[in-house]
Amino acid sequence: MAVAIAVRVRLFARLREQAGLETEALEVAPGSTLADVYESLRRKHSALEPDRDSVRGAINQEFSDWDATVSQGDEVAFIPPVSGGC
Amino acid sequence: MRYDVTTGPIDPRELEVAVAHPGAGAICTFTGIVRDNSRGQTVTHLDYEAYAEMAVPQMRHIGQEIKDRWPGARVAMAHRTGKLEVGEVSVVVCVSAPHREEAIAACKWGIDTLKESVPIWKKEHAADGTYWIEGDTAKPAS
Repeated sequence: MAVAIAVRVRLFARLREQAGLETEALEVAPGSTLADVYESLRRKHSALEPDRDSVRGAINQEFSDWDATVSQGDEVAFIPPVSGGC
Repeated sequence: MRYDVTTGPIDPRELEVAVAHPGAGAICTFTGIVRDNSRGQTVTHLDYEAYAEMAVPQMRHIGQEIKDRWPGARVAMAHRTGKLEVGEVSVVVCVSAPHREEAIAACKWGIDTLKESVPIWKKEHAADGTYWIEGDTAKPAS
């Protein structure tokens, strides 16, 4: 069994500015959930939004629950409340 | 069907042409424009940021749901990203349908749903500072 899996994390808008990066390659334990990935990211970037309830996660461009499991090679995005339109 | 996230200007007429067909007796177009004020402050310009690889599929989901709810509807949507000045078009949702009731209802549902679920963000540059708009909330930007 793999010791770690690699995911590609993408951040947008205010979260991107808080972390100071748009994308990061992250290694997490097999079986990690979206919530685990976010907490792992927060350990590296302490300025990142602490209130996870205000953030949504997506795996491979689909909104996903915080307890969804990530897989090797997934693109994981953390999405603050959206404000498209006018 | 046409769904775009683009850095260039949006021409609503092009979307209307994309949804027009001989069986469509109505086309409803919603055009969103950059406004010169927000929260009681003067707005100088906006920056829109998108997760384009997800925003376009989300728009396609909305278009598919419109076609399921309003049979016969055709849909086109476009959202602009980057720096937009006051008066420029930020978003267009265009729906054709056999009759006006469906076209208007589907277009309203389309823009309302886009604003809730399509990963695009607005950074507001206003007289009192720069803010990320998150839903109904303005949060100071760095």
